Amino acid sequence: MSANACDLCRARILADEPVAAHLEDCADCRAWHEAYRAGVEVWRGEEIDAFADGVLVRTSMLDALIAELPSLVEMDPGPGFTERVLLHTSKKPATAIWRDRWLALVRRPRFAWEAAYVATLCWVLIFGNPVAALEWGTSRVSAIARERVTGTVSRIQADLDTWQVRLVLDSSAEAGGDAPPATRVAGALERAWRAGSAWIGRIFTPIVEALTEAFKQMAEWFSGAAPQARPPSDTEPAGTPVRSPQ
Amino acid sequence: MGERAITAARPHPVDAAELSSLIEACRAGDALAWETFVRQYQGRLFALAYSYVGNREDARDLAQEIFVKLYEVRVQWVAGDEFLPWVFRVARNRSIDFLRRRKVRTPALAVDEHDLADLADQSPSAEAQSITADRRSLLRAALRSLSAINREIVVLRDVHGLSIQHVASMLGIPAGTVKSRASRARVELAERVLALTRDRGEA
Repeated sequence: MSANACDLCRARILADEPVAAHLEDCADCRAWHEAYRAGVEVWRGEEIDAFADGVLVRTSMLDALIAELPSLVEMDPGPGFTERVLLHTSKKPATAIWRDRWLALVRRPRFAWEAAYVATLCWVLIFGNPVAALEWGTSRVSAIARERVTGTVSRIQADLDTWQVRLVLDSSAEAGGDAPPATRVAGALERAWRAGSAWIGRIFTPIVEALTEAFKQMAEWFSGAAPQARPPSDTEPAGTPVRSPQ
Repeated sequence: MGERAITAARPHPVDAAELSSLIEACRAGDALAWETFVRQYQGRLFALAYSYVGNREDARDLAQEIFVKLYEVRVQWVAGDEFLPWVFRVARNRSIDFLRRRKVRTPALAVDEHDLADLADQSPSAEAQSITADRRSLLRAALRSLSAINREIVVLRDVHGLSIQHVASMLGIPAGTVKSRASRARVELAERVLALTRDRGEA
């Protein structure tokens, strides 16, 4: 046996005396004792050769192991490791460090995918769905212009006509002669109202038309830049898939 | 038994005077000395990192982090016999941080296939080289099957040759506990090696 316990300890172990205190401090005896305990059942079965072989294998294995373990002290980290460490620990100017980081970022295989994703995200966040939005905006502006400006002027015109008719009827009901002061005032008011309406129309109509035209042009431009799928027409037949001839 | 074997086969013995001058140069910011230090210790620190994380890719990242940390604190480097234990203490702390951060759990019996192609061997023939690589692979697999504390004690004590006192101080346990645990861990390791040898022989 290569892992020998000291004579005193061996005598005590064989005499079955408590040796725990000594085993705490003596690694050799401890190894021997472990081997002894592992084989003691075999020993009791009087298979002394098997027991001795077992102890021999265990102790020689332990010796070999202790001798082999220092060979694991080093491992080859692979090519390029030193350069990687030096790259991360060298004193480079800040611009060079940022350039290296940028190049490392750009040279990754998934960089193109990431850049495309970010660009698409920005485009959608800024412009939304530009074509549909502008087309909707054009028609909406035209409708609002028609409804608010033209409708208001028409309503005011109708009110004025009604008012004038009533004033004329009221004045006719009175005695003849020159028109009363109320009729004259009403006429002046009507003329002023008509002039104001015409002025408002002159001012706002070109603005509304210009805005509408601008929206239309932008919508046409976007439609040309990013054509959308055309909605199915009522006059076209339904798109039934046709199998190709075999 | 243990002391004999540990002190016998330590690779790349570094002369104390040479190490002191290297440390001083690194502390002074000498780039060439730093590169020499990296080349001289990358194998050891990579092996230590590997023993913690259990695979080569993570071990490369971890070893790089350890070197970066050592570089950042190079003005605090201690000279003399305390240098290597101090480096190992830094490496161990970084390893623990790394494991916490990535929540890596070392597989119980996973064998890294790269172990089989361990090229650091200096044996003369290809056959002998292959046998040695196989043997190392088996030893590493057996080491990884130990409990974390036993593995750490065997690695620090028997593989890297730190003293009982240094290991005890590093792990924060009494020296007597380190000694008894080291002994038990060796027996356990021997049994694992035997079992793995039998398994591979049958396979």
